[in-house]
Amino acid sequence: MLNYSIRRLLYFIPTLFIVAFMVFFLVRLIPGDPIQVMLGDGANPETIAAVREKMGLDRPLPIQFGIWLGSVVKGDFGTSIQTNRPVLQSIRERFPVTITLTTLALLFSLLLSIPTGMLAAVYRNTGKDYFFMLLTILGVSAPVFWLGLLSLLVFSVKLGWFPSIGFVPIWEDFWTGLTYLILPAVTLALHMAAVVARMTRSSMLEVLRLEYITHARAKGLGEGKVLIKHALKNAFGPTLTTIGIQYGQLLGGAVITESVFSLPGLGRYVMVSIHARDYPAVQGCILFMALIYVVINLVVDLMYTYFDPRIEYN
Amino acid sequence: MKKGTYPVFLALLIASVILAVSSTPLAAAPQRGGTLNIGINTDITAIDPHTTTAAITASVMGHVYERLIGLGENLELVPVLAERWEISDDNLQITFYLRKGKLFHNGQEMTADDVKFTFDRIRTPEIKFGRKKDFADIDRIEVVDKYTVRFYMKKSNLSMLYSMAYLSPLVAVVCEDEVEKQGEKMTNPIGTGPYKFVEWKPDRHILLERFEKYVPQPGPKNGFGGERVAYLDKLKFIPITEESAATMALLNKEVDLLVYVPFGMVEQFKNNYAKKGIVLEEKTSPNWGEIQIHMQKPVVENLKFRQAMAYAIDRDIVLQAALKGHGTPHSSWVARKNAYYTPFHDKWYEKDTAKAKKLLKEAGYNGEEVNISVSKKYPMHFGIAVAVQSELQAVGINAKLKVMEWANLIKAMYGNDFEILICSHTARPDPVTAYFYMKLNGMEEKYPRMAQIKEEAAGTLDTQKRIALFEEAHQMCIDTVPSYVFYNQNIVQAWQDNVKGYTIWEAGMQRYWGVWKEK
Amino acid sequence: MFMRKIYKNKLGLAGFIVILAFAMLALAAPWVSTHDPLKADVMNWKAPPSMDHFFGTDEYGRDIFSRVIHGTRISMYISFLSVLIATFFGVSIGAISGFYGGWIDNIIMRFMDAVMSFPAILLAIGIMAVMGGSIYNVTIALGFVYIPRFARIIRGSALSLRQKEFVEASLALGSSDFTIIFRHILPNCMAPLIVQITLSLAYAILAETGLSFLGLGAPPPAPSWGNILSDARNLMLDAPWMTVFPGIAITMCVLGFNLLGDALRDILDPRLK
Repeated sequence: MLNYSIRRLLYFIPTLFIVAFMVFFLVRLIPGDPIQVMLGDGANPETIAAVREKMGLDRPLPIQFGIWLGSVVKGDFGTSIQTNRPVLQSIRERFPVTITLTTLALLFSLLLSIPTGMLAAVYRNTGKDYFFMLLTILGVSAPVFWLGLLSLLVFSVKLGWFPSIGFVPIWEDFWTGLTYLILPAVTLALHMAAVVARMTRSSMLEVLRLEYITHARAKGLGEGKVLIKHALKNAFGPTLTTIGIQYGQLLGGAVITESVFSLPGLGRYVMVSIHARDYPAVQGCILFMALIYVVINLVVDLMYTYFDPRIEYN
Repeated sequence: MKKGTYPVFLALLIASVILAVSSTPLAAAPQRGGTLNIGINTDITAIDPHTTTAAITASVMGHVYERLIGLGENLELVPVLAERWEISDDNLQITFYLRKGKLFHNGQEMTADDVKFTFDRIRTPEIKFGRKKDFADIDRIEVVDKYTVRFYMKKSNLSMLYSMAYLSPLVAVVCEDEVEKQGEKMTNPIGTGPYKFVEWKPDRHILLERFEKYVPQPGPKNGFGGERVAYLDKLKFIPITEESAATMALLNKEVDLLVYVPFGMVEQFKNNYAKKGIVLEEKTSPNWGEIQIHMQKPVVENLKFRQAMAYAIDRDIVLQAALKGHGTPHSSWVARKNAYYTPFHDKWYEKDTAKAKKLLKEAGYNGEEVNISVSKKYPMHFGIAVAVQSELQAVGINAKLKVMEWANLIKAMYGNDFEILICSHTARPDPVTAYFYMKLNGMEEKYPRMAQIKEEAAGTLDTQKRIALFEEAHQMCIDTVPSYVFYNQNIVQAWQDNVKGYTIWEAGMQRYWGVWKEK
Repeated sequence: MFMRKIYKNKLGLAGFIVILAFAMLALAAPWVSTHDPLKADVMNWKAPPSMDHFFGTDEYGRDIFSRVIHGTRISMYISFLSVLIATFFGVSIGAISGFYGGWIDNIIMRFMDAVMSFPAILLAIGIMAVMGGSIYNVTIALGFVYIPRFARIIRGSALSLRQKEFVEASLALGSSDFTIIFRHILPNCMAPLIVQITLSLAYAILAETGLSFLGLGAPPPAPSWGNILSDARNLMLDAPWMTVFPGIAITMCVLGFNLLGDALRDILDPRLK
């Protein structure tokens, strides 16, 4: 098992290198002159040339990549063209927002999906099953931004339960912060909830037929105990992998949700930077989000060993 | 006056006096205190005002910083940090006399050294100042004494005064010691304005706080000049990108003021939101929307074709599509509100389908494709494109939309790579800087007189001379159709009815001095 | 047999019918729509639903009904073509990787891992920013980001089948690699493949709306569903019909794919019998 973990970590390195490579060249291929956009109307060519030289944008691409990668490894993500601030500083300010949003969304989606999935499995092929599944599938079928705006209209303007804009970090004021995050997190959670519910349902179905469940039932254990202690624990393995993969969906979805709900997170930063042709910021931000995703999947993979001891590691 | 009417007259007089007296306490009595939450549609891009051309940064930081000279209500030059200025007869020396006792937020007094430092700073290559070329004619700057600074010019260029005063980029007078101390990356902007900087949480808010030691200038509030009193304790600018969300925030009273009401929503505001205590204001700005026509590209290089285009377009259709009708028809690069505007600038083509078709035939037009380049960044640009396309198609011009990213449009505009291009411009108090764009569509190359007009106008501030020159420029535009200006755009803003003393400035800059919140 | 099972699965059947209806609508779009979807009539903007305009008009006076109908075409096109791209490349890459194994597998899978390291929509955003907006580019971008999902499915079963005796035997008999991949490996992963295809079709439609919302989808005049919905959102407080109808159309169609995908998973997955 330790071996497996080490190998998993070693695979990490080439993957990361390719990720960095892709990010860099993808961003450099973005058409449009960032300097021209930054300086706006009426900038003269000399100014543009001077700024370009200063930012190193006049060097050959492979050299730019080498320099960039070198500094990224050292933790320097460069300076934003638009704001003239270190990209890492901006990421550090925004990362907590995105991570709280997505984690909260993860929690909500698990709260919604695991009971739904379990119930659907227990009442397999009955009206209840259909109802639960339809409900979760509906959640995954509507465009996120539309759901977000509709929920703002209903819960914020009509009912006045939640604020419509703004953000207060939950580490500064937990309850107030929460009111700002509930709507976006639930909107974001719906998609994942649907997927996880379906996964839970099918892995539960699989486990429920296994012998030891019948055995546990025969031993006279209560149905609830059987379900939670035995079935869920074993069905949780596949569900967990789904959660890992789905976390990527949450991070991607955050790009949209943060714009709808005016949250100062990484997703909004990516979009602002893309539209401003702010190369260093786009690079830093996409790379960072990919990193989070990779790390989370790594953690999930390692956790998987706990939930599914049947897996072999060679 | 007959006897019988006298009592009626008297009664009216008394009534009006009572009205006048009773309305005074209602209108006046500004209250100090409170925080104004302002919904803005994009975040500021930098806190160092010299490094960005974004209008929103200039608008927000215009409360923290002050210019040497500024623009007045009608876009005329007004004194701000400079009390007055003198121009030598040959235009080659400009001397500024500074206001005494102006304090920076760090308590230091603003002096001629800071002014010299500022204008040297924006001219150095290290600083990404977007309008360097406007100041390229400065030879050197001399500190005469603590409160006097003199600019020596390489050649006569009085347009530079307008560039100093211009809305954006904000040519803020910065504190030399602070900038030196903080280094290139400014973290704590120190200015002389009525509000001081507290914090900028990107995409969350920008917070400003009243500078207690601010001494307002004498005279009535006038553009950036005149009396600027800070009643509000704090100003909180909150960027909200989603238009609907911004409106919802205003309805929820989460913001006190919204600087951008979508044109499509104006009726809804007037009909329904007014009842909820939301005040809407609308004013025509000097900002204009237009198409630029390239004078050297196939098909559009033909003058008859361009004239046919001018005859094909119904301006009202464009106005509706772009602004939902919230603008004033206008034809010239010299805006209606400009000091150099004369009715002559209203002359333009009227829609005449028959003439358009006849000219097309004379031009030998044969259904060749003509591209309209447009970015999707601004909805009004796209609206112009939709309308122009359908109007051109109606007379048989095979017009195609070429929709692109903003960055690519800018590139196309400066790279001579368009046939018809849609753009809009913010107020240009000095029309010389407006006619700058004639360089980009090949106009100046084809008609060199245009460049001469600009040169001559830049060399003088004499109103009559300038008016004559700009009328000549407009006549050239009529004769050669290098562009089609459609309108001067309205600015629509809304606020809660307890916000008092605020009014839209047509120039497009927000001003929260003289504004208070009723408790 | 297969159809009968779908028929028995009521939700799956419903999904199938919905998709069929949308597919027919897409084919018949020019005859079903009542107006030219691009024709602007700016003076008649924001008209509420009426007999002339079933779904009302948008901010440039274009007929929303006709735009939604034509949008079906564009969205179906993007969705089917992008999944086709993803399936084709995914299956090829996965099969090669799993069949040959060794360093080829290693390199390919590291690359796939790298692609999978990006949240799908984020990568699509990046690609769209590079390529610029057009219907083709949306299709390519979405196709690209979904390749690894397919590659992984095929690779897994190719790896295990490679060891099986019958494959060894058929190799010994001189069958070409190509034949083996097509004869033995592909048929064995049909079930998960079909499920993945159906669900990806749903994702692709939603992803297109997301890209349009972010301003990175097909450029504006094109009446893709994403464009119709995201263009209308700024007026949703004033003219709700502008978002309601396209929103319902998108949700219905995606729901159809999801229901069908779920039903197929139930039917095809032998473990759930």
